[in-house]
Amino acid sequence: MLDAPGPWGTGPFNLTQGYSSIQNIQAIINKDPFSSTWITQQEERTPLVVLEANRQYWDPSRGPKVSRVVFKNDLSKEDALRLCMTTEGQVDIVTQVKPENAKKVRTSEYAKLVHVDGNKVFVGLFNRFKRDVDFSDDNLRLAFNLAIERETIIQKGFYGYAKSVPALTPQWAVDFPEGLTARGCHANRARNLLKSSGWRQGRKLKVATTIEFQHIATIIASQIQDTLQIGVEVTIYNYHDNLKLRRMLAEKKFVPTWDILLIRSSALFLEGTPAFFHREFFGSDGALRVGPKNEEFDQLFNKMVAQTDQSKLISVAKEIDRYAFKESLGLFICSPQDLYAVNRHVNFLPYRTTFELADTNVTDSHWSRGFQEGNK
Amino acid sequence: MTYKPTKHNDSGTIFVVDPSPLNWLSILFNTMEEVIRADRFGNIVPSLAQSYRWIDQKTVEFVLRRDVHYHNGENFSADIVKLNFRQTKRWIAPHPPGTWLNLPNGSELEIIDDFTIRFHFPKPDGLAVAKMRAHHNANHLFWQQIGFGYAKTGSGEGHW
Repeated sequence: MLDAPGPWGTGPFNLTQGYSSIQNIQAIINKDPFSSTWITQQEERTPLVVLEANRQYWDPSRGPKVSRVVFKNDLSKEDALRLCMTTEGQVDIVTQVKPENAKKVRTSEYAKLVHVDGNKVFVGLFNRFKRDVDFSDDNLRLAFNLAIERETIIQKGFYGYAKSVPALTPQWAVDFPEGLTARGCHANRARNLLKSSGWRQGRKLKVATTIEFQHIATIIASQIQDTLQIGVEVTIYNYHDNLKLRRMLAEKKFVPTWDILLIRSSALFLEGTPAFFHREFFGSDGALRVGPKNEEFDQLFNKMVAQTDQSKLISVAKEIDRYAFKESLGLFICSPQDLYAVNRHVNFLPYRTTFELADTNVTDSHWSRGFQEGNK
Repeated sequence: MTYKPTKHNDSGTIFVVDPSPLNWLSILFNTMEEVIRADRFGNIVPSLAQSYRWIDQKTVEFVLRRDVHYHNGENFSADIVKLNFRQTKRWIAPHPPGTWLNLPNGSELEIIDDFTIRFHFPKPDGLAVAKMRAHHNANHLFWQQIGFGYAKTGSGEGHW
């Protein structure tokens, strides 16, 4: 735990007040070789977390460029966004702005919208544990991949703030396989593939997702229903159920009732990307693997891990993404962007994979600078 | 609470609301560091190390920066990386994203000199450099007072 402020680090900021911690349980994925993941049960945050600039930071060219950062944890997302858009000196940056709020931020008087192609994928996981439907059939998986209109999902579901991704590695990652393009919707071929897979007449598709993606799931369900002419049921997990779901997925003791789970995941790097996405969804130690181990995938992944030459590692990483695409291992949809509401006098430089503030600065017109003038 | 800048060289205060469930990690990444980090584009770049290279298939060497100090004035050097490595090894699952971020069982850290370290792995691990992002380098004071739970409760498992 990191549940106290203190001069613990070397970073651009010093944690001088408050803390942000998490309480978790372990979910065991495999006994031998042992693998597990953490399921966060609860966040513990003090109302304020204060970071003071480290003026002796070893890389002054990077920062820090503001004297302090105060995380306000006692505001709701809604209040924070409203205050950022309508006031000065209350909230300067709000992370995780929902795409449906982007326009409000863009047109607000006090805030601007900052968005970046980030480190997330939104994907459908086929439940290969199911007995009455065979999602180990690559033609069945391909049928669903050919049944959706990705651009419509992006425009209507993400309000344009997402990019289509052929498989899982986004185009801006160093290991994106050149030449791969996202599949389009091909209704006739999708229907034929579904029919040849032996999909039982009248059998409804069961799609599940978390409450955050309810709207998007409805769009996808509607597309599948129209294209494949099958019934689609959508199940929504609330926050509490989502924790149980995460544990069930990791431990793999029970077979989920749904056929496709729509889920978002993120990566620490956009280099060696399959370690974060492909392994997590399809690998033997993947917390989100929904099906028996896939030996072919594991062999490819282990081939990547064995490369200590970076160019060779990247080459195998591309091979893995091509394999995932060819086999339609998931229902590949898009990479949602990260959206921030930022005070008009704050120059915030977003990182693709982290939320870091060393490079962020404020103009002389910022409320905190004006405050300084007034106190001279 | 009011934050009154007191110095003429004050470069401003920003108020942030971060609803992300990964806020704990953002606080950490803004205050603690690792031998490598992600640049703005998500690429791996040296951080507390100024460079790294694979010596052979099972050995990676990091040359550490000489000009780094902790917030309490303590100097950063090879011995503190070893302290953090040793402490983290006590933990079955030290990384919230999962044990896949663990270095292979049997990995060892060798200090070559005050600012050069080598990790020896029992088998090639091309992800080892990326995994270093999950190996945060805290100072002695941290390990004495908190230690991700060890100093406070005797275990770090499941806490952050």
